[in-house]
Amino acid sequence: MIGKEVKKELRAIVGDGRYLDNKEDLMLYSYDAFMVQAQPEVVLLPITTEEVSKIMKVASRERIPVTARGAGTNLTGGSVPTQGGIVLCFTKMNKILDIDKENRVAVLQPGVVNMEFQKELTKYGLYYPPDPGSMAVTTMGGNVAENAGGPRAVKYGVTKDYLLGLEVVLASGQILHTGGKTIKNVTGYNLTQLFCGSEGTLGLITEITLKLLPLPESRRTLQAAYKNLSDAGQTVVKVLERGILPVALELLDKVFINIIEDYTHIGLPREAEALLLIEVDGPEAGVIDQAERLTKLCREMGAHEIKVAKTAEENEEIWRARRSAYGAEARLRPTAIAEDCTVPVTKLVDMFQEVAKIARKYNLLIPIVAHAGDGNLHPQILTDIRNKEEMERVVKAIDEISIKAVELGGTLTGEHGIGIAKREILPYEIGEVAMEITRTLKKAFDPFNILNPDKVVRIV
Amino acid sequence: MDLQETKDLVYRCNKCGLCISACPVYQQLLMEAASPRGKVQLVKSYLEGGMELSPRFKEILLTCLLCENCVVNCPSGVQHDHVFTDLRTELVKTYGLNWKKRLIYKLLTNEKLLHSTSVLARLGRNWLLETFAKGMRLGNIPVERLPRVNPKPFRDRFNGLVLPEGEVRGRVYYFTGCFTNYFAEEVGQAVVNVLKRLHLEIEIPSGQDCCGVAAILSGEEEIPMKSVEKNISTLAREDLDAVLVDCATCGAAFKKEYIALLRRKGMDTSKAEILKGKTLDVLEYVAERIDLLPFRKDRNRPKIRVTYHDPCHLVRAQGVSQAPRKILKALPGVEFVEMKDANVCCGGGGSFQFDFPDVSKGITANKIKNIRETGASIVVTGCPGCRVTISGNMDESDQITVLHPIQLVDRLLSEETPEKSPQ
Repeated sequence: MIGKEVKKELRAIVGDGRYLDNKEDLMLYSYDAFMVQAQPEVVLLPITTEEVSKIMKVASRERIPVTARGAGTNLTGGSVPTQGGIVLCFTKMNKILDIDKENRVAVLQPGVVNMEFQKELTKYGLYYPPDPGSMAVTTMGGNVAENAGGPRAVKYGVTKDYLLGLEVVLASGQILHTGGKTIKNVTGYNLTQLFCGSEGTLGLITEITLKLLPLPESRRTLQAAYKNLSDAGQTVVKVLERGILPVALELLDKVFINIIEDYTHIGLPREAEALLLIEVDGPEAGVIDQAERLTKLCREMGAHEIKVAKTAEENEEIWRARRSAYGAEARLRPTAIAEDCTVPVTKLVDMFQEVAKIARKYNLLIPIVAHAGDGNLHPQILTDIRNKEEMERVVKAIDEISIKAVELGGTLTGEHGIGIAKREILPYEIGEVAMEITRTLKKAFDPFNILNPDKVVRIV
Repeated sequence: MDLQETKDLVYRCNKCGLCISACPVYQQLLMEAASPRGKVQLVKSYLEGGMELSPRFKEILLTCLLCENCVVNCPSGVQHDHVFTDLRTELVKTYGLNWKKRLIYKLLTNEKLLHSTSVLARLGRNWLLETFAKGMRLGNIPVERLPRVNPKPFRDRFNGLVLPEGEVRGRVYYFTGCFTNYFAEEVGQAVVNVLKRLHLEIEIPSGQDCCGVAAILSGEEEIPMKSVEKNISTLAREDLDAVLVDCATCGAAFKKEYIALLRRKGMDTSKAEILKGKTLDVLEYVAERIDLLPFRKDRNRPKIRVTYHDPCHLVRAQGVSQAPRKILKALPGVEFVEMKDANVCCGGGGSFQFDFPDVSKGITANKIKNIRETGASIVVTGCPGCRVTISGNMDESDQITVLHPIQLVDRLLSEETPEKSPQ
């Protein structure tokens, strides 16, 4: 419990408008896009690094848990304050501090929204590729803390591949600067990358320096519909084998094709068993050539309907539709749990089959969308959190899916993080040695276990 | 009241957050309380018994423009507007309406009283303006920039039926709405002129009622009922080609809100459905017939640059976005330029701008910036609320006229050069 005097002290740091502690507002920061909820005792919305530092000094002295949060789109409960305490919400710290065209880097505050950043960069002819499904709302601080990915990872990698430097407020309130503005930098340990994907358990990100790319001249998306899901899966392997490097290579199963079509009415082929969305980019001539090669390959592999987007609008329409998948599935069942298992691309079809087996075993509805080009599957467990009996089966199915991915040479989570959702099975993949080092690191950065406690690894 | 439908809707929300980026209020406040997702979760908590209708609850629920941008951007199909209006109704039961709103809604829905008050209001407004209102503001709008009251109510000019010259090709009912009747006779006259050019008989009985939507959207169920019932019984007629409205909000009332209200009250909606089927925004009607209008195309003069703002109640509540653009593109001598975010709310939101002027101000500033960036000398929009908000928040130095699109059509038909509107 945070005492009255301490609350007063916290309130004085940020001022009235950015300090919230009434019942309604606390409820509003009790959730993210995962199914677990827990209320904080106060919510603070800082606007400067100094405020964050002052808050952490108080929290450290008083041993108050602090959970950082941006837009609250986390899918593994990473921004849910399971031990109460303070929620530090960074949405008002949302300035792009610098876009340096010559050095091709940008410096920004953690509350900047991914898509807003991307739009701004377009004005400079620059490009930041990572595009998580929630990019329209998700904040860059959260993207770094979760090492967010997205469809474009096939060609362009994920958040960590663009991260050059950070400003971080530590648990003690000290301010740490890591990395810098250069692509090459081997000065000391790579602390920058340590924070990337640390899920708010090691420090609070208050400033981010990112590497940028020139905006590709042209892009094109191709849709290929299959009557057989494994043909689609085999196509993915062949694309990579033949040396084509698409930006994104997405696979939707029949259920998802229909869910998305119900919402968007953009004319997806409802009868298909699988749909591949393949985007290529680069100079116009190269794009046309790649699109032609892909069309030929997809047809060879058994696609019965192939469509190529004709305009930039058509292109964007397809991707907007794809990004609506997570929300649109709620039309079928009220609770959706987004799985995130990832396997080597050659094991994609096997993993699809394993998920189908598990779904049958537990009598659950588990449609799949996949970032197939990087082996990242999102089986979506569609259920109803109010149905206790079903939820027990759901929990078992999730664990089995994740473990199966590891058995196939993959990983528990490709881009959603561990959070609370996968904490208990983390040791299964990384083993006791890595667990011990993880705990040691956590204690070194956060000796009182106040930074997003309960997440990733539990400290006893 | 049976909140079953709302209960089902809130459980559809899986908190994905896509609505947040679509919410102009959230963009200003950057707090979960401002977001559609947050409001839905709050309502869910209330329905589960975890929350009371506290003053803070009320404040959060009302910090919403009902612009419906979240509705169209929600992949899960949560109809936020339905949920929020339901809860506003609950809030009115607990808190009542404040006396000012109550007075205004009562006045609006009492045609006789409104008619006689308008004479007083005209004197009052002009007196207020000319003596000491300079510098006073209503919300963010300086009082001197509020619309002037018509010399006499617009509908009093007619004895119920207007006939075109020459042959008669159809019969429509023109529902003028209160705004045209009491404040914007120039819009009403333009609508009549254009419809006459289309050779239509136009019914304009002087005794029309207010659509009542302002009260309905505030959550008030009883005050608007008399108007709702009267409008349905007089307008749900099979012998009319169409019931035309010049106001996006009146149109949304007939096409959507009446049915929602009657369903909330467990009443029969069959006649309301007929009215819905007959109702068309005047822009929809004219767009379909734009080729029939005799524009003079031989004039050689510089093109007027015009931009268009989508009213929430037209683009989302009624799904009309192409019709006005079709008209503007067809007008000779007009260069139509799309503004950025044309379909984002202007920040007015009915009484929202007076209840939350600080939030409204930022949203309106974005809209005006986007209008300026087009370099247009005229911005047109088919909603009186939007016109008042936009023109009221423009700077003195802005040489931009705010009109109803039909005014532009009428002026081009009569070959006058559009000039700065009196608003």
